[in-house]
Amino acid sequence: MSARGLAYALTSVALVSAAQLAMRWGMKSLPGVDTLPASAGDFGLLPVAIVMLGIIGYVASLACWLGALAHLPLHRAYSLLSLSYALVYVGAASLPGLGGSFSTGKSFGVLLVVSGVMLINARRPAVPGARPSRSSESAASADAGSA
Amino acid sequence: MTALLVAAVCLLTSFGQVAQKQAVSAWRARPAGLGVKLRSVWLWSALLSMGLGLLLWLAVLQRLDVGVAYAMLSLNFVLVTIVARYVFAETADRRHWVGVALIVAGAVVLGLSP
Repeated sequence: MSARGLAYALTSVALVSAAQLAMRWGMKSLPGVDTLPASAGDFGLLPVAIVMLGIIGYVASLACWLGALAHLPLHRAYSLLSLSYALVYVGAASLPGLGGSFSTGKSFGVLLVVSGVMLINARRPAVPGARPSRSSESAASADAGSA
Repeated sequence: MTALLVAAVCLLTSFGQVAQKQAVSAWRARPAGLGVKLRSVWLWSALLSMGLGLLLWLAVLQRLDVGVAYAMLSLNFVLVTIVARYVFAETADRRHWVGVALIVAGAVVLGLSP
């Protein structure tokens, strides 16, 4: 796996996780979109600013994502992104004002998700004489192309 | 209604991911200047679908705990794996599919948890 691709992907994960928490905090503080237009103008500037900040973080994470896609096969890059499910769950349940909570069921769900991510990203065991898989070939060619 | 919103967000953002991949692949295959890159149909398809997905997502965030709602987007993973398999011909072995199954099971458990 390309180290540069990995760095892009992990930066994208951190940015998108923070962005999700910011957008949730802001949207939770705004009047419901289903109450528009009666509620139009009936909100503070801070939630709007935080949602905007979240959107900027989200766009920045997409920029990093383009970098990750340039250096990693699609399915592998995408599985790294799903690590953010765990980060967002813990953040939403432990930070104030987000309306999240820990529960056994939800934690089990996150454990399943993270297990799936680890399984997909685990390095393939070296089998003597085995042909390299197509995905590792494409990753290798991407590395060669960026060198 | 909320479930429909989440499903729409999944479809829009998955399409956006695939369109991004197409844009990057095209740029890598045929290096060109920034002006040509910015005229990529795939790039603008990606931006449009992800922008629309983001607006719908903000509506979802008013109704659901983000820790649960965001995990439901792991359904994207299934969609993208299928696209990677059948459109990009990237091979996914049995272990990969077991991982996909675990992620989907986790999303279902999260969705059903109070």
